[in-house]
Amino acid sequence: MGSFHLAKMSLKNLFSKPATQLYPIQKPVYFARTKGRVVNDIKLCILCGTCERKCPAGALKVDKAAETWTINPFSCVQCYSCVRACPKKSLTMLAEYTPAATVKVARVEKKPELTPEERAAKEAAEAEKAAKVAAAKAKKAAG
Amino acid sequence: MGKRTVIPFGPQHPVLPEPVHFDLVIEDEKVVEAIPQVGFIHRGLEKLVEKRDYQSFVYITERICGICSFGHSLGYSQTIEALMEVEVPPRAEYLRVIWHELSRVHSHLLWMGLLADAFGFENLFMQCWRLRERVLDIFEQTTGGRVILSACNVGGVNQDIANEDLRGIVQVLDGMRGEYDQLLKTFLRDRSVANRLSGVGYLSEQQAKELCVVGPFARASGLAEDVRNFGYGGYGALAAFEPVVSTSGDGYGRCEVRALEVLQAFDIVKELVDKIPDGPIDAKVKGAPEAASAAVSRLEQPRGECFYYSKGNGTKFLERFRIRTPTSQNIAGMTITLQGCDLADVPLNILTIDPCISCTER
Repeated sequence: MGSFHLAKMSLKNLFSKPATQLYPIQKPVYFARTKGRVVNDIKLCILCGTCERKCPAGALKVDKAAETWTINPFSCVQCYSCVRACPKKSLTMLAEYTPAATVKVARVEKKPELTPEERAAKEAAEAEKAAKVAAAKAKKAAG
Repeated sequence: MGKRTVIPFGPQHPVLPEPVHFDLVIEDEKVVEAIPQVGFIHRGLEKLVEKRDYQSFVYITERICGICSFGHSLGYSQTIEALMEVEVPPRAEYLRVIWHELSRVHSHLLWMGLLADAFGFENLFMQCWRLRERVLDIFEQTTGGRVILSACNVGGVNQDIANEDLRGIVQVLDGMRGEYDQLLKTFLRDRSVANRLSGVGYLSEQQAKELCVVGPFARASGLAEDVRNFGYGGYGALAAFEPVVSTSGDGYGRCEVRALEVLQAFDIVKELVDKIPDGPIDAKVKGAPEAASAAVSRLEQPRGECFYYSKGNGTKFLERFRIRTPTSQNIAGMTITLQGCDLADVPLNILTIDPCISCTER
């Protein structure tokens, strides 16, 4: 038994830098894996809805008809399920947290309008796919 | 013999981190009887298995409690793996134990800080929490979360830790040892701490056995009860495991057990990092638990043995999921330790068993 066992550490702390950060003057340094918030690269997104099905908090909504992808950042629990499940890797987890807000608003991302060339290319691709399906069906019916 | 008075204590009290209520029957300054009451933060999480499928329910179990977060996700995953007879890859087992032991370090450091705060040693409190911060940084670096890790899933783990990062973790822990030794000396050899803890809340070995108390509370009374002895998961790979036991049975003993368990956790992490095999970290789990199948699993949480039960019904939603948490086992022992103690010792006494009411009520 004795006393002042913490004296060494206490004296050292008197002359060392603070262990805490001077937030917000000093910006926090995040790790590469820090789970901050989910963002969607809507150009890559195919609106398949896998993320919506995987989300345990029900924070995501995918509307195929309106071509929108919606996230409620205040319901999101940063579990990474959607990012892991995304087949096109259009979802990413940023290290920064959702900025503070006074109103809880969902963030809607809409597919951008296609240029005439892009639309033509998309229609051509769809027509090709439909032709392939029809051919396969005909082959199956014949065989 | 003085007049008996009933004093309500809690659920809101400066020393209590969580809401528990006691009706303290007082005679002069001595507590004659303590009648506990819980139920202030019941959230009905077990019932939620009917709304969330078995794979996304792991995120709910993590949120049962902030301190035992990883332990609960691990316990739940183990139970479902037993239910569906899934074999977990060895690397995942090792990673789980590494995270779980780190959770023990942060939980015990948090408790030691709270204890220091309760007996008025603010400096010690701050130092414990400062050291704990490094463990939280390891969590953030390896999983992305500081408290809720979302690292464990049914069949394995979500993230791998590269071997050099694992060695980095061991270096961080080795770096903590020097400072932790000073804290350890203060807790175990400082006269001011010993005066406040010795003899407070005594529970004999016989009483501990009769009341089935678990965890450091039981080990401080001389019962060598530790589920890790059975070598579940990655614990089977340890060369030797000996639970930390103290025989003093009072607050000092509980402090001693937890303080030494932190060092033990450092050693376990170090040993597993040396032994960890390469390989996959996740086994694909498909289908649903069979109807009428049931499974149980046990886990040594920082607060003691935690028991999980689950039952399937042939769908993706479980029929029943149940947790028996360490604190619900320890409340009976806590009321016994309160009998006969001074009114001024009540807060400290409650704190020494490290109650986690969020877990207890779920």
